[in-house]
Amino acid sequence: MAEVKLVALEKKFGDVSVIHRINLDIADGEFAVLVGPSGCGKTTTLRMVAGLEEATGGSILFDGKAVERLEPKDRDIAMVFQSYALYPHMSVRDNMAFSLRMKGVSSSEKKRLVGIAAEMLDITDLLDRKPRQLSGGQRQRVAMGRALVREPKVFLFDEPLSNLDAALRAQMRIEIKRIHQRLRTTIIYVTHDQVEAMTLADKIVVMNGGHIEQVGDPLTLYRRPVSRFVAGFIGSPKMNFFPARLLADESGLHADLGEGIQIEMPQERDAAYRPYAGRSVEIGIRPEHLLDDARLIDSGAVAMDVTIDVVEPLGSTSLLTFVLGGTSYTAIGDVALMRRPGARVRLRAAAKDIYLIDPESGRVVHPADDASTPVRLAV
Amino acid sequence: MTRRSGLQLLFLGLAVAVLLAFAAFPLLWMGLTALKPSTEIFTWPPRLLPEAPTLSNIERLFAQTHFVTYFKNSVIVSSAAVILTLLLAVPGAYGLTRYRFFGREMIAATVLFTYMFAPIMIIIPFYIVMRTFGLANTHIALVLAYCAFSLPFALWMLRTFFQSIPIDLEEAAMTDGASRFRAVIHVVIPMALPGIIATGILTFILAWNDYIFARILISSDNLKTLPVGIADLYNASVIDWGMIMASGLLVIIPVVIVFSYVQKFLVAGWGSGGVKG
Repeated sequence: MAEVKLVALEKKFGDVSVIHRINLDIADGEFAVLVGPSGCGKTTTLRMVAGLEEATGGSILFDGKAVERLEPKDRDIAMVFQSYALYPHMSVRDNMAFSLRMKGVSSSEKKRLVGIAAEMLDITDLLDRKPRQLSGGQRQRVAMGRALVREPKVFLFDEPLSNLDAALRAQMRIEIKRIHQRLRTTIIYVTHDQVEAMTLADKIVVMNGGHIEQVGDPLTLYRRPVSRFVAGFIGSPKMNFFPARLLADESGLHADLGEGIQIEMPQERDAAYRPYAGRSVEIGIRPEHLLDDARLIDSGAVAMDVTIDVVEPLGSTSLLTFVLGGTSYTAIGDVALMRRPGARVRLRAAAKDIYLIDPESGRVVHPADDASTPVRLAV
Repeated sequence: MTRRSGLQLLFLGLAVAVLLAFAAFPLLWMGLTALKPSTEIFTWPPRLLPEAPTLSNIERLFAQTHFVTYFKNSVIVSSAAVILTLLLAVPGAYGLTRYRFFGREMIAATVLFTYMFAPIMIIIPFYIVMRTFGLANTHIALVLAYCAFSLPFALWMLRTFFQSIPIDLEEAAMTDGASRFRAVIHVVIPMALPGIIATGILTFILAWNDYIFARILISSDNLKTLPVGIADLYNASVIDWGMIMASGLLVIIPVVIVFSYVQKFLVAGWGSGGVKG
């Protein structure tokens, strides 16, 4: 187990910089998930931690010791690959024992350690098979077993679940979490799937374009995203971003969304939002906070009247799509209301669930005193 | 597979039979002639099967010529050529596959280009080089020549093999605590084995069958390889066809044995690459 620190870590391919001097602290035993769209640099970062990619600059520290010059074999890590990367010519047992063989562990000890890992992953009866005789889910388990046997300081996972179907993915997610709860080994996990990130992580690291956008626990990222990017990336369905104009009059601040829709800004955010008066802004509201629900009528909820375009029933709720100014947005409604396309409805959102985004910087404007959940900005 | 009609099958069978006869009949004739006594070889009209089969041709071959020496020389030279070629080609092809360096693709292409020179074009300069180093009329010169001629295609073929091995596997081995060298030994080479064997066999055949290099580079009789040794049987005042056919038969037997044994590797080698994870 180890604490992992990235200090001004940088990667260039020729003149092209793909990781721009990032800093990150991962505590001992923490489950950190690097998440972002493809090409954001999350896999490159992981590969630098593994030693499979050489860092152009900066430092990688395990428990305060610089490892960036060490060979992968000397870093005491174990990695699970997206492709599983099982050795096709070896049995499952030999695959799992490979790292022990490299270490020169005695064969009785090898047997014992492989046995423990196999039992933990419920693959004891597969030990004599070759990888090609296994299903995708079984291969995934073997790949994890191979990593577990090594008892490393840090586990590295590179999109390990992306080749599995949805049901299996959900199941493996739970198992990975269970293993982490049991072993408490530091994990760095790369995924592009924000649901995986939310469900697994102690700490989510949102990456974009070779930078770290934000680091925080899942709920912090959900409640207090620092940027439009994080706000849009975390949460499903995606947050709605309404282009608007912030207007000031004697009663306070309003956002004008066009088509006669005006949203009143809450009084307590007046100080934070005031500098944007008279300017173009974006208003962000998550679909799950924008409800077709009459119960929200009081308590200072804002309202907008829209025409429903598409209705997608999900069982307990429905996704309602509506169009404003040529862009589609999503809200959530009660299935019992039986909305039909073309219906005119009044959507409501609680004032606290509204975000104001400065379109120039892409930053979410958070009121200074609204510190109900702490936010950690990336350095 | 598409279904074929009976007529199509018939034509296909006929075509195969013609091709087979064309390729195999001379071999058959050679084998049968080797078992005929000298008097029968020149009878007219010629007969396919020997009337009084005999091993006297083979006996004479062993008694009157240096056939055993030639055979031994061929085995030594061909095996050494295979070992040297693989020792150079495996790391070379690995380097051309896995390391990023300036001019890599150009080197790979140029290597293949050298394969397009006919041996006869470089044999004289090659001989001069060998003589300068005092290696003319040695087996070392032959081994070097065969190695030089096999290396381009060996590099090219093995490179294709290494390219088909997912790099993830090597990286997995390295994160599992193996050095690059051990990752190659434990993961890459076992997976490339069909290709390595196929390459070895092609090199062996090239060396085993070579006439030109052995003719020019070797002058001592006790260093000659089979193709040269057998050709010299034609130079006798009386050409002993029975003995020549017998030597031909004995030359192809080991090749046939090796081929039938390693056929499956060759198919894997020439086919897919055979390394699906």
